Amino acid sequence: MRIIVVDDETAPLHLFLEGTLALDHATDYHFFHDDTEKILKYCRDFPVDGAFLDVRMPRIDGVDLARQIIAIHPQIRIVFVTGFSITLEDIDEAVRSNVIGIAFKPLNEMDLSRYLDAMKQQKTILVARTFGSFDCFIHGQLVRFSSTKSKELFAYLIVNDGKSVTMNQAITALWPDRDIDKAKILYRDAVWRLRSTLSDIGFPCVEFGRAVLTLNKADIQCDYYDLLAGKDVDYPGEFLASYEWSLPYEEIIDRKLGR
Amino acid sequence: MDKRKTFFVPLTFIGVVLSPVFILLLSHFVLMEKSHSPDLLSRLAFASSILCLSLYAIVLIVEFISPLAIKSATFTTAFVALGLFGVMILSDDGANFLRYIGIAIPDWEWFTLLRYWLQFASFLFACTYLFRFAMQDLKVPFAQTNRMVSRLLLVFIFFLFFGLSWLRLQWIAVIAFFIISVYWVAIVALSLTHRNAWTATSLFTFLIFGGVASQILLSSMAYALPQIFTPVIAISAYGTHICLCFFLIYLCFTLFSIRRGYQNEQLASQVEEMQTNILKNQISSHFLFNALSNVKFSYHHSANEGDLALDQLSRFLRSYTEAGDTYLVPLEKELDLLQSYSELYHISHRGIQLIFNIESYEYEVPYFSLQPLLENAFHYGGLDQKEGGYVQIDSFEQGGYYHLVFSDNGVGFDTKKIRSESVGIRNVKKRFELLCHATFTLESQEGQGTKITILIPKEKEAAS
Repeated sequence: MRIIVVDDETAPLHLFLEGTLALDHATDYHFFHDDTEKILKYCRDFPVDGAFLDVRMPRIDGVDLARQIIAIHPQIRIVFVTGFSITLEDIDEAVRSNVIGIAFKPLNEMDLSRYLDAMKQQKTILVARTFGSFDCFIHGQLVRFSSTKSKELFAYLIVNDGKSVTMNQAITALWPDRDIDKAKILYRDAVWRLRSTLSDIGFPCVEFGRAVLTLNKADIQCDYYDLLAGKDVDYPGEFLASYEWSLPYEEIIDRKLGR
Repeated sequence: MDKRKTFFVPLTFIGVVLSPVFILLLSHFVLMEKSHSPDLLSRLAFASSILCLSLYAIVLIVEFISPLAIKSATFTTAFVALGLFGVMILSDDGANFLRYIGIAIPDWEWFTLLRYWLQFASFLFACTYLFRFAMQDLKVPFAQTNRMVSRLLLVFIFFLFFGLSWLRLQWIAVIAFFIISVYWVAIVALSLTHRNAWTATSLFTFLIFGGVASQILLSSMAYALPQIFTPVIAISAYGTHICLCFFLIYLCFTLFSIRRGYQNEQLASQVEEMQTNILKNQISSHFLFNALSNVKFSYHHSANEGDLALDQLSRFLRSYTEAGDTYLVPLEKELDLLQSYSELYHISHRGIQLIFNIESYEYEVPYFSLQPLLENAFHYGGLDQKEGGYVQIDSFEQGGYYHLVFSDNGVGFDTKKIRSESVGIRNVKKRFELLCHATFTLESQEGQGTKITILIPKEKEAAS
């Protein structure tokens, strides 16, 4: 797997890739300033799979460069890096089909990880950790939920193992002490926030129906699922530490492990 | 508009250049023919013709080459000029003039009859456009429905004239036309009086139209019933010229006032745009420095927190720069903006909750319309002083409307004492009303909170 980066400024992307790819021996990456000759020569000499290209550079236009590189490697996957607010429609049609994303400056690690995974053509997997406290990771980055309740709601969906969860079930578990009208409002708030978060990370694994939520377990890697499937996992004794409704599920685990 | 340009440019050229020239030459010829020592009336008629034609030519040329491009007003005036040119050249005087300068115009009866028909048609053509020209400014309510009827009537009258001329009774058609013109004029006059909207322009229109119509009527009658109308024949030639002069003065006057009106309109919309931009920039700089200081503060907590805050700010600013080109966005996008904004204000640290009670979200709202509402709630709501202060956004569908409710449990205010509509809120209200055809209401109770209700009709949603 070979990636090139073309940018007239060095620091941000370079640092990120250096850090991320330090342990990845299968990926080879090369950095170029805006020197068209050198870049095209490299592309002709080696099979390049992906490229991060800055759109505006002093000596060359990123889109123009993309066109030339695509002529050499028609299947190359390109991510444009830009400080401007451009959309896919602004990019030349000839180049558009090779573009797998646009990264906006200032660059953030979540987006870059996502694009790197896409470039490597690695399937996106959400890793959900339920042992200890609950956290999710995607592209190696921690998923930030916009509220504690939306995170809790997601945890609830995960441990329900892909079965549909109704609004009433969720309310009973997450807002047991609230009056029903207020609880419904808070439920909708959590649902909205969860939807937003999943859309941000590009992992729409929940089907949002009318008063019912269904999780799609595919592409979710979870220690709890592994345990239920009989795989050898290290259970530290603590499960979904901060959630009060976790007790029945803890009992399931204990039974499975024969305690 | 481009198709019209390429097709009508040559026509406009004819109208602009040829008709004044021809009318001028024709006037001169007619005067020469009528008497070898022109009397005062002839001199006046001739002088006024030259003056008006020069003015007219200058105005049309300026219109033609001006950067405003060819507007419909210029088309209309060119068509009127073409029509009058037709009337002139096809008249008996015109035929004699052409013979005088060496062009052989046949004398045959059917050819003369054809000339009369074409002359009448040209006159009707000029009248249609003159009326359109006058009516487009007046926006007469009946005009819309009457337009098709009027056109059909004109065609009918033409064929009536056409048919009746075999019997040498075309003056009947002319009278019918005159009666219908009176009817039109009466409607417009009544409408103007009713709305108290009389202007010099409309008065002028009636005078000219009245003059030209009467003149044609009288000359037709004179030819049909010479015994009664002999004196009329003598003055009819001058009459046409004088009417024409009035008409040309009117055209110049109207063209200039249209142009001035257009410029004023442009200026007004520019001013409005500038004001909206100033408003946006005011929001921007005020908010920006607050946000930057929050980012700095976050970095003091940890580099990670700082990075997150900076990412939020970038997202927000990116949306902000897009807002210039976009008018409407899906509700989701606007709500995401609210979330970014609230995080930048560290509302969670200040104990304020933002609640999204969202049931429906398949509709669009004006871009950056909810953020000013949130800003207002944060600044004037006194939410951080209250225990459990929150801002709640409800979105649901009921009775053919989307209900978007923005409420907080802050300190509220007396809507009678303080101006319940600050500039920012007024801007949001206006945009909702214009872009979504929505109704916007604000209620507030001191000590209890503020509630803004926006009702967006579903059907109009589909239309826009």
